[in-house]
Amino acid sequence: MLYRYLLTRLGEALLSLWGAMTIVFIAARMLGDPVIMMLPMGASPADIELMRKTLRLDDPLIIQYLQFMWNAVRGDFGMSFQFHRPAMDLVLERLPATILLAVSALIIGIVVGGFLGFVAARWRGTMLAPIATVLALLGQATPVFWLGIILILAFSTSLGWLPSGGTGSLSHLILPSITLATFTAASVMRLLRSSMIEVVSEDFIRTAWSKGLMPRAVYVRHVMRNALLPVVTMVGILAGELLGGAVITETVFAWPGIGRLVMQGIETKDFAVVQAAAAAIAAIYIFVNFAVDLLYMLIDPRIRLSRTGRA
Amino acid sequence: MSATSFFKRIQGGHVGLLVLAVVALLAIFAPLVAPDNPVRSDLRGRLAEPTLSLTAVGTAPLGRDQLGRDILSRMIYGSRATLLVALCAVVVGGVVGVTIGVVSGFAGGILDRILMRITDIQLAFPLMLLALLMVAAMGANFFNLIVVLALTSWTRYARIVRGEVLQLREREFVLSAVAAGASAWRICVKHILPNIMAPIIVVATLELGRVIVMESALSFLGVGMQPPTPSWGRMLAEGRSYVSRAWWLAAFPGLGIMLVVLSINLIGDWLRDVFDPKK
Repeated sequence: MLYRYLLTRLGEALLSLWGAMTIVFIAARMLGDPVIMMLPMGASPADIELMRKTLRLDDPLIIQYLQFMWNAVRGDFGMSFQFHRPAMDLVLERLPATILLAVSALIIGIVVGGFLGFVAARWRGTMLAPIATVLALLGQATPVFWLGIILILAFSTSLGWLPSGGTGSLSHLILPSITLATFTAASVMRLLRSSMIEVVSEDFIRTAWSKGLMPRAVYVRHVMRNALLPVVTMVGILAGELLGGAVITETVFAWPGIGRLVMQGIETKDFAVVQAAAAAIAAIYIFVNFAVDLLYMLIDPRIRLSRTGRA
Repeated sequence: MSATSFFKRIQGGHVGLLVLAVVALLAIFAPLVAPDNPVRSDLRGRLAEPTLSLTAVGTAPLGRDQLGRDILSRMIYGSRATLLVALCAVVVGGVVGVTIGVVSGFAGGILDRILMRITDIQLAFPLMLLALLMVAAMGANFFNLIVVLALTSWTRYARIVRGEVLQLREREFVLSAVAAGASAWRICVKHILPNIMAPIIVVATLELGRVIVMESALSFLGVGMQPPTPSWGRMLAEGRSYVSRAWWLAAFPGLGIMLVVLSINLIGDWLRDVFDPKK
């Protein structure tokens, strides 16, 4: 049963990966003719034709697609024409910066959002709850890039406490990760709050109270432990938000990650780079979701027996 | 009704509805309410500070941008593009998503599995990245933006609608319609659709907020609405270069987006509570 579930999920993940690669291929083909960008201005039609032949762009689309897939499997996404290096190398170079940013944002988001959600559910009916709720609502409605600009304005331009962009030290990480974490924190807060409120009315919580447990023990050991389960599932969805948000955050803060690489690739029509970066982001996203499913299965034993496919 | 009980009855959704109605009216009657022409530049008034005095005629209450254009007027006109694109995207995404969800849930079997796998595959791609790639590939114009934003939106409808249809399919009134020999089309339109309107409306409301943020993000990245059409995201992107000298260029469009999205989310939450049969 367990193995069957694992295999099904693995199959699904691979299928998703194939679909994502197909989307990348289609988008890259629609971006335009790479040959025009690679050759210098005023290249003769014969040169263009030769280049197209060399790059095998005159092959039928299906052959190009199969070729693309075969190369993608081997991690070969072609050469970046502006850096004159394999596109995947560029992506791998930038990858640690994006992962550092996304993981920092995820941690901040879960800690801050978890705290606010706990406060809002634990002290429901006091003045603390609406404050936490309003903060979450604001966090969900604030556009990432605008928050970034405002933070730069406040903490680097006006106060001069933190650098406005770039990388190199811990202080460079603070503003981008807070910017990226805001939406995450708001989502975690709202989910934890509603799941805690649901758990509180369960029978086993009434039992815990009637045993005479301290409120602290009830909330931490019984409510939180169960209320956190949906939050774990949401990490998979949040990964998508974080990776998408990274494109914007990295652009605002000149953070040298793959999000910014995608933008640079699109601006300069460096297709190989766009393909490689988009493929890498999709692969990470799919991997995270796969891992989250496995993790969920380990945390919640009920899933092992009841679930054979994804709900 | 006393004043306190009146205020206690007011919910976030009411406030959101009010704010959204005001913004919508401003957008519809933009030519009548905007104090200035949104694309007229006044080079002497470049980066003029906000006066914030609505009584003085001819001044720019929210300041002027790098070309001396009135920011308030640009925001009023900009809301048109922003709201129209978002509304169209939500409707298009909704129609596609609901259709796929109903077909998937009602037909079941192999068709259901194929459609849901397609949904999964698309969800395996970060939406922001998908939108960015697609807009960059297709070229940014009004029509393409709607298509791309709708593309990021249909999956949520499809999933929720499918789940609802699966439950409804086994209900007595649907079974009796099947027994009476009603066509599948008739059952879906007459019996299933009216009963799943509540979740559809909730999803549509929350999607509207998400799509507005995404449209502004695309504009910000330079692949959204093209000049001279003002949109809030574009204004924000243009104002970014002047942020240290003139904060009002970027601050007000951002506040506008935030206010509208906040209102929409409040409405969405409120509707969800209203429609929730558990309460």
